[in-house]
Amino acid sequence: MTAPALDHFTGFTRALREAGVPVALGQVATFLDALTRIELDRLDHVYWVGRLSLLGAPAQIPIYDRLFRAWFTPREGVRLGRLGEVPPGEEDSEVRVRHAGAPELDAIAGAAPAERAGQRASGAEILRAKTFARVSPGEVQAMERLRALVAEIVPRRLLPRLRLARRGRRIDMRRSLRRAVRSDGEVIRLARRRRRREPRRLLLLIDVSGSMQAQIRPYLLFAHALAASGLPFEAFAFGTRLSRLTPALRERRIDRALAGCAEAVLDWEGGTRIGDALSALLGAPRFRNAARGALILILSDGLERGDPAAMVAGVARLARLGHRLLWLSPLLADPRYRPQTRALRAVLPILGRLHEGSDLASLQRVLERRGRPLPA
Amino acid sequence: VSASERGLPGSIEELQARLAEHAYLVDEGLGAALWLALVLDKPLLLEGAPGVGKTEAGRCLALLLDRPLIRLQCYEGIDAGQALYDWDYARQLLHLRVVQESGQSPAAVETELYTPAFLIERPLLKALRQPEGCVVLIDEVDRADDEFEAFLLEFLSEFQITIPEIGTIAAGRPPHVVLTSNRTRELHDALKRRCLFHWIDYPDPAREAEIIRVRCPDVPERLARGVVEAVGRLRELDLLKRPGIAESIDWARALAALGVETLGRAEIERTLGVALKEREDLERARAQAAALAG
Repeated sequence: MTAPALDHFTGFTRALREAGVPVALGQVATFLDALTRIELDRLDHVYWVGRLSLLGAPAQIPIYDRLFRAWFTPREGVRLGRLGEVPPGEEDSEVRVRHAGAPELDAIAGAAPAERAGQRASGAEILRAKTFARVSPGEVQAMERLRALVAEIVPRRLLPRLRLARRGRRIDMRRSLRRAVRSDGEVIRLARRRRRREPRRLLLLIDVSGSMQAQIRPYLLFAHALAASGLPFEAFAFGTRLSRLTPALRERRIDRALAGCAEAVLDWEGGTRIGDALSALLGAPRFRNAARGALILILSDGLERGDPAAMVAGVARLARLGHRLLWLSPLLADPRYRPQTRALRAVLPILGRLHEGSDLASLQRVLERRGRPLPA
Repeated sequence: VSASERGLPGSIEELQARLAEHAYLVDEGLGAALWLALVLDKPLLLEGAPGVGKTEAGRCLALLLDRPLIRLQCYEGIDAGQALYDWDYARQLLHLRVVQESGQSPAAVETELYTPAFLIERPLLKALRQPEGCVVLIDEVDRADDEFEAFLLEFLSEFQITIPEIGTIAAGRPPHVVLTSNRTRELHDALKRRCLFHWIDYPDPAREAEIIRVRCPDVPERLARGVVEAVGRLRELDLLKRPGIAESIDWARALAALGVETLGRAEIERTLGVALKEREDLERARAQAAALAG
């Protein structure tokens, strides 16, 4: 391959990396290897070769497309050959594609960080709008209790994998046979295996709309306690849109985790569109997977401003996907409260009942009421 | 050695043409993916919505190479005993008893028990033992646990399996591997880096109509186009399970069997269950049946 061509192709992979696509060295090698097997004047083939060898997720395709257009717009009148078959002496005229310094690319490369910075700026505004008071020692204690409690009560499921056990339903033939050889071919005691139990996933959905203002902080503390319990865990906040909180909550220091959450959510204390948020959650296969077989906790007053039908359908599907769905509402703190809204009344048959969840203490009571592990 | 000398298609177009002879229509992207997987000898990872023809791609490769296709369906909890090999314990025990009856000490013949004769082949071992090579389809790898992925990594990089009692079994001719994933969870980067990655989208309407016609020649062209249009509109609805290509084919076939020639609102309402498999989806689509008919 000619030096300018090689530079151009490796430069393209670097640009991809700078644009946020994690391109590994081995992938670059595959890319270059593949290029030697195709006619380089077939830009469509070059496109596919790059896309197949350099990417790893569908989200990267638009980035790739943009960069590809910027790097490989053919210049008219340039003779294109086949890489590796370039006659010596012709190399200088072999610059077959517009080079990296092209203004278009600069514009793209320059635009991306600016956009990101813009997002950060608006995030910071929200961060100012949403700050959390420091966590008190009493709260820390309550959270530690919660952490231990949830590890105890979370339902477990049987895994298909087997482990050695004194008593088990299945026979470990491999081991039994080894023993038989040692006892002259007689099977005296069978080695057994049993299935392992593993805690189910936890999925937490937190309403951060305006009507929940007073509860957001205790809910996030609750979420942080669950995240620190070591159980498989996912958390989302919803208002008018869905935001994933899990990465922010993984931060061990609670004050930083809260700040992280403040940054992750863009619609603090806005409206409530539970139905839309649930369809966003259920529409993405990876998030839907977090609900499958999970213990799902929804923390919300259920005051839906959007389409109640969408919310009911979403809750029904969530209940089917998950192992158990508990709805905790702060409104139950008032003993006279009865669910009034159409949406909430419609989901009651699915849920069985609502639970009270207005602060850390009441959340803890809901967990304690069960006292012992929920049936698997 | 060039592609054509190995009996492989010389170009992406040639590959597409060869598959078309066998009633497999692949677009340029999938054609490029299959072709590169062949000439570079790399595993191919296919992701995409359910029903876009990921599994079919494995069959295409097997067809092109004229080699057997060995399929490994992944599921939660799959392990080496189901993917690689297992010992035939019943036969081993019987053998032990025979040895004992003949007055020999079983301990003396222990090594005899662990010979290939007592081995049960599971898909991946079977793939390594094909003298002429083969195509391995590792289907829905996202259903398997993370641990299994790590274990595949070893298989994919070395094309060999180590059995403690026997030793290492290496492939005479490395198999071509196609992995598919429905993207229900993120696969590890290490696995992705070893593979060519292709994201399969729904085909464009003209191609989908062509696929229907090739697969079921009984379907009139007009009906095929109508079905594809309706399916295209269904995919735009906010459905739980969008209909794939297989659903388009089934639907067209069902309508043809009913003697339908043009797809109107009444026909759609009557047969929608062939294309949609969730009650909520059916209700949502029925409410818009008139719009679906175009």
